[in-house]
Amino acid sequence: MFSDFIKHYNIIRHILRDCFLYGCFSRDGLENKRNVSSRKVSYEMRRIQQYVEEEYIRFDKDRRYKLLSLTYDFMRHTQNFLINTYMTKSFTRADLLTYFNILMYLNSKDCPCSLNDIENGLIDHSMISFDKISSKTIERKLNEMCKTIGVLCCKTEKRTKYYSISPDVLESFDEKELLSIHIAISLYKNIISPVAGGYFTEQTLMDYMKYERNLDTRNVQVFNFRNLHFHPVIEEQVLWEILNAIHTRKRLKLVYCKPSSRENLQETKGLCPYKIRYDVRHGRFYLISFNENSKCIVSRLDRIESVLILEDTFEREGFEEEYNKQMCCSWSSVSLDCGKEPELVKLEVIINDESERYIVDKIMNESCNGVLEKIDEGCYHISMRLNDTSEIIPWLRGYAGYVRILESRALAEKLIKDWKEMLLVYGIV
Amino acid sequence: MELFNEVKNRYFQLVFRIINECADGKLKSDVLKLIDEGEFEQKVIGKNQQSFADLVLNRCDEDENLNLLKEKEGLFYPAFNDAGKLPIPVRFTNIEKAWLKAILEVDGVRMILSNETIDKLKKELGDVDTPIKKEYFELTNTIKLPQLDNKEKYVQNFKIILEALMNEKPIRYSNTDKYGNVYSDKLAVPVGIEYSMRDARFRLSLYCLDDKRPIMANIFSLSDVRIVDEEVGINREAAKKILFEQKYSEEPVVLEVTDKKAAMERCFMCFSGMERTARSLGNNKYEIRLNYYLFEEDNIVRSIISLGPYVKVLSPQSIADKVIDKVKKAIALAEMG
Repeated sequence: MFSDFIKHYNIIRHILRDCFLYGCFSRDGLENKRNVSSRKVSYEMRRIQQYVEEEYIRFDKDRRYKLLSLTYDFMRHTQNFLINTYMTKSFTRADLLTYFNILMYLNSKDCPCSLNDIENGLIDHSMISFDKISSKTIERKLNEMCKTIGVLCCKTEKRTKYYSISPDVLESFDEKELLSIHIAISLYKNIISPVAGGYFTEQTLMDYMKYERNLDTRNVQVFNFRNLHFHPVIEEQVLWEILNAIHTRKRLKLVYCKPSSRENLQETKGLCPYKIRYDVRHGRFYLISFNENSKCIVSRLDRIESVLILEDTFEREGFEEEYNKQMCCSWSSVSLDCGKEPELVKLEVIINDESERYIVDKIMNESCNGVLEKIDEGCYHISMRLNDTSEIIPWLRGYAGYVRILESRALAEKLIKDWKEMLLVYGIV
Repeated sequence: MELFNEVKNRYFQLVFRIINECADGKLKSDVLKLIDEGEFEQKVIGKNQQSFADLVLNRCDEDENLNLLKEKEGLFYPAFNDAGKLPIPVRFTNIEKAWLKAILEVDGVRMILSNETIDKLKKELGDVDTPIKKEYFELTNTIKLPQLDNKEKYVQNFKIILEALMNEKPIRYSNTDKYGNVYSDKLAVPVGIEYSMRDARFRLSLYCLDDKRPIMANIFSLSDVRIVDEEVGINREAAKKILFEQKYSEEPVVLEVTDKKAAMERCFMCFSGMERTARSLGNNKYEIRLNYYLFEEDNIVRSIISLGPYVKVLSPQSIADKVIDKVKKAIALAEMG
């Protein structure tokens, strides 16, 4: 109906991430970096500018190039503005008219109605005409509104389906209870993935309070969030498909792009999706699945182009032991290679006095399975086992000046090399 | 239902709102105001150059008009108007029901919802088969804090603070900080409850009127928290403003990132919650300018060091010096053995 909208979220997914999250690319820059046509870049950039509220869009100039970025501050902004990009799916005129006319018609009736009743009712009231919208279209929409969307319900009597508005699940809740539900949603909408589902739920509840109950519906803004990333929402359409596959125990195939190039897509073989791991520090989702040899396959959701759900199913329970074995010593996403044992890492933590004891506690709280041993005043040893020690290098760097690597030697050498390189960057030899 | 669904399109939502707002009749100007408030800032245009308002107000050709509203004596009503009834009922979609059911399983939800409300919701959503389950997720790079000694006190404090925030009331409290300093019977305006995604703990951001400064406190360490009816001369918004202004750095941190080993991606992800600008310097190098809160400085220094040799602080020199000092200390420590 309007060309401003898109059929598939994937259309804007990459460009949203590249151009706006990073914000350092001009149109030409992005064209070169990702090898996509400049026409597509400028078209999709214009779309996103339209979808996202102006207050979050920032324009900068880099010489003659115009740079766009989306930026927010975790203290000031608690509403994830990227949710707006999920409110842009294209629709046809028939979609819009059938949806609202069916809702209005059924709501005006006190008893369930058959397809015939609905059709005749809509025609009698001149709400639709058969030359524009067919009987099949109405039937399809009714089915979708029942099964997929869930705003209608249906019962079958003597082979005839009767449709009505879904029961009101909030009917028995008083004003105080509704407000408490709203407060809970306002907190968890940023915490429980898919968060887009949380934002939708909040909007529907606010509409319910306003229109069904005539209640005051101001936004609840008492919570703010630390270490909250907005960008993972870009992967939530993929996340939702995978979650459904995990839940229904359906195998799937992934169309996956290699990090080097978006054009280099590969289709995986059938996989059994088992778990989603979310790296809270970086805001990154991973799918852990198993292939036909029960090998753990780790896939970053931002690299999954599409998900193909297969008909065949799997037994989830069979993978529990394997998952624990292969992932229990993973810092973030690296699984244990077949036939290998987790590596031992031993750190020495040196603090000046007891006032710095919190450093030791912090390291312990952040380490997966660390074992602490006090060696002397101000000297502690922490041991842990890891699938891949390179995963903890960024974390170890963060404790520069407090931590020395006792084991493994390779890790210690790598870290010293890093430190020396860092000083070189500042011109210190 | 797909997460990306047309019924959640902004314009679907707008049509829903317009129809329900028109239940008792609305002037054209009122409908136009609703459209103006609900539309994109850059308005959509139909295939034959019609505006959304033209379609809704039936100002196009007869076969183009939506006819979801009808005009009667200068007022617009829903096409199907059953007096006394809301034209379009409000119902949760399947995804929303699944999500709502999922939050009932989260531990902390009992600090906000009563057991009765949870039980009622569970009963209403009993048939909903939600794919959002704890067992399907594992969070990594989290911080596992020790169990609270007195969970009851933590919950009680949380509830009082939440009530104070919802009703915009000041509180009095006592507190002992991590260094053992005791603060007794302090008067404060609660600014917000902060939830940390990494340690799953709630903390209280408040403006202490006795000390005239913003404070962040652990909810569990507070005692004798109570809502008071005292005149404080400052509201939550003003307290927030002080927090933002006093604690925001005047000068940004400027970083140069060499995009090797996905350093750029890691860097952007690390600092995604901070106001920032970035530009390409060419030769696979990028410049990022980060605005930050002063109380976050130590964390920022730590994050910069954690990104390794591909990230260099260009300014301010004080931050660069901190990075250099720490790295020198790290080398000295490593070579000690």
